[in-house]
Amino acid sequence: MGWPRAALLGCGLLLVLGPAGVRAETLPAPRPRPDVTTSVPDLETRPAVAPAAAPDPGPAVLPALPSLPEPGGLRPPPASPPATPAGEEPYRTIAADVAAGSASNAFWALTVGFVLHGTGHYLAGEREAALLLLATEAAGLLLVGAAELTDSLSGESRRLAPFTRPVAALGLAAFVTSWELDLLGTFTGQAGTARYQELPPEPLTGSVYYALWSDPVQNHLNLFSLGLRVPLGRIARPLSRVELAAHGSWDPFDSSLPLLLGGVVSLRLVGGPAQLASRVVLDLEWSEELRASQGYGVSTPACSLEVRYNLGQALSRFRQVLLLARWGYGLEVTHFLASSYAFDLQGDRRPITIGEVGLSLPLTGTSRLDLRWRLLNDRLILAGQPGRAPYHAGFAFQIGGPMDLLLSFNLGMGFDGWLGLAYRYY
Amino acid sequence: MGVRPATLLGGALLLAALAAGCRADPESRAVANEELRTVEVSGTLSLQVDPAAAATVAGEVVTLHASGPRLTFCATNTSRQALPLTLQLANLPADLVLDCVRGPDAACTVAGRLEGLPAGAPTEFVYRTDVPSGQSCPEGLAGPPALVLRPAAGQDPGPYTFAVAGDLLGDTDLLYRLVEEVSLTPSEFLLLLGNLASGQDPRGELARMARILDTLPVPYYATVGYEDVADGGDRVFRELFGPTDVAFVHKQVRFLLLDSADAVLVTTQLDWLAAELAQGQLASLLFTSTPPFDPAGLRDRGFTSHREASRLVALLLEHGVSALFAGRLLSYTATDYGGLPVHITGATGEEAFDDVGPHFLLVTGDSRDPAAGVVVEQVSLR
Repeated sequence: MGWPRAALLGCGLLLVLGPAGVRAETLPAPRPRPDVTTSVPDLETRPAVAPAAAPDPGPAVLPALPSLPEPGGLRPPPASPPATPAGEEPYRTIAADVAAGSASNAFWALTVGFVLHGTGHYLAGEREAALLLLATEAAGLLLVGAAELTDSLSGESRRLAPFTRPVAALGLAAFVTSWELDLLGTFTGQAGTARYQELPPEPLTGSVYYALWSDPVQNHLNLFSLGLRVPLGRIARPLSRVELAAHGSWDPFDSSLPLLLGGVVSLRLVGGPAQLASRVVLDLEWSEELRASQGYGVSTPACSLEVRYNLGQALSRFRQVLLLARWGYGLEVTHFLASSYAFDLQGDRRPITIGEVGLSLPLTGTSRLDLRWRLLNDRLILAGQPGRAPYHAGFAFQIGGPMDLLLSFNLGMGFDGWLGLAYRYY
Repeated sequence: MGVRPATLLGGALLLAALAAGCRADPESRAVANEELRTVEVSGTLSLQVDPAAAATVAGEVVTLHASGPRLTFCATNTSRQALPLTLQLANLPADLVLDCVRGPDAACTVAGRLEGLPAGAPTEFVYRTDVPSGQSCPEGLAGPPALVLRPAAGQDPGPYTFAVAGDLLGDTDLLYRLVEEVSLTPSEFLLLLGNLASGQDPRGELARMARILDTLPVPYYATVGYEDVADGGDRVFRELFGPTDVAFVHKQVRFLLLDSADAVLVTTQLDWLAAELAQGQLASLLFTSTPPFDPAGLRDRGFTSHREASRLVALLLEHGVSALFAGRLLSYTATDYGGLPVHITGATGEEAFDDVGPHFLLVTGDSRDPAAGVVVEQVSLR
């Protein structure tokens, strides 16, 4: 087939070109805030611009904040600070010049702000942020409207859908994300502490998950998953790191085994400096599932490109907030009747789209919250990893040493909750 | 930064709102379908009907809109006297005959009388009887005193012809043309794959479409579509057309109309489907609104869950279903899922950049030779 080649080529081009836009290692200097006078009664006093805790060592560096579903998403501080170029401190302080959080402003962001994104920030005196959020909303609505109009006028033409679908997804993502940022930014005020730490190289990570799965159709109750992520090393830019990950899952409590047997092998190519939160990731995956008792199995090779952008590079209020976006394509090959199951691409084949947008937010200490939305295509859920359902909320907590406790809730095709541990070996 | 409970709460609420907004409730429709199996005529007189049918009661007169060419029913009378019962029957084949369901002792008694209505309403009949005091249905509809109304030629295997149309989308002009064209074919009935309404005013649109469909000289059977269920449309659909999941047998072929209006299935439906398919017929045909998979993969207008779609298709393949007919897409595509012939049809043919146009499908087959499958012909409505 021609299209997988084209998709791979496209991903490769994006990989090469993508990092150019996010390679900036320096944060923009805090923009001068407009001298805003507001009559909002509960607007808290803005904190003064904090001086740098250490002498300015040069470009500020943000950490590579991983997404939650990856085992080892949180990294412990190294036993000793990693080597840094002479004259540079491992810790950076970024001035906090944003308004504090306000429940009142958040209320307006939740209500009026659903229609007019940026309302919360406007009331907090963050007019620049408010305008940006409003513009993002408008762009999102415009994209959704254009896609829907095209679909409507063309009778959902199969020839136009491959173009209108990404446009609609992008527009919806812009709309949801800008509202969510208005809400969360107004709630939290300064997003996290101002101190950042450089990170050690990616470790080898092993993970184990238990999932309680409630699916009205599949009737899964228990699922176990084992994962392993191996860093294969660094290569020259734009590919700074190569990882190989494997996950396998099964249901050991069902007497009709193998009700579900699934796994995924992925090759991850990471573009951009490892220390920078903004980066581009190319994922090449091959997932296999076998549902013998339901009479089918599926092979799904896929290629997707993930872009992570630290919003702090645009707005200091969101300096620890990561915007995550993924787009890609895969080939779904369904082998009906388990007796003829084979690990090949002979079967009922159809292309699928992979789309995802999300935010990764700092909580307390080292913990983070992930909120993600995926296109309603659940094929890859069965690879046995959390965070692959249409609606995902995940929490990660460091519980000591190189050990993370990960908790994940997924909604969409029923509900599944994942609880797991990830252990890193340096 | 400390943990702000409000942040967590906000995130959870947001997720819940998104999830709730994207899931409809096909389970409640499946339950409502079951309720149509029983008609309470009075405090002492009730009626069991199979397949479930839309019914209205006015005194001793019950109006039934049949959901299949064969209708089985049984009356229960708990009073101390015989009670008169009049059934006004609509949407049945013109060669209707009254028969009885035999019990283990081969007892069979046909009570009451069946009358056709004057010319011009070939699908309507009246059945009058007196229900004896104390009559009940100990075996349900599987034995006497259950009665069956069936087409004279519908009992034995043989050749059959029917028409299929999907997604009329409230277009009354198109429906008039469809009625006219189907009347000219040897179709024994018309099957509608949902989306009779366009979603603008499902209640009004469904009523208008039903009035036009009532002029057909052959019966029509419908399942519900995505546009029909908005704004309480599913309730109106049940009142006008009957249940959203329907199964009936004609010439030893099992016809299954499956409600996939929300592009999802629930366990109740899959269990019902598996039970129907397990009954064993010479052939089975499935009709549903949403195709399990969109043949144009990247458009992805099939089932929301590919897992559900795969499970359904695997079930159909396991039971040797002869063909699947689906709507939702506004064109005509003949494809297959793992060897299962699939015909996806939208009557309006609005999809741009193809040359399909308004159409319906004329399907012929012969249940004496089920391995031959069915022959599908696309008939233009231009």
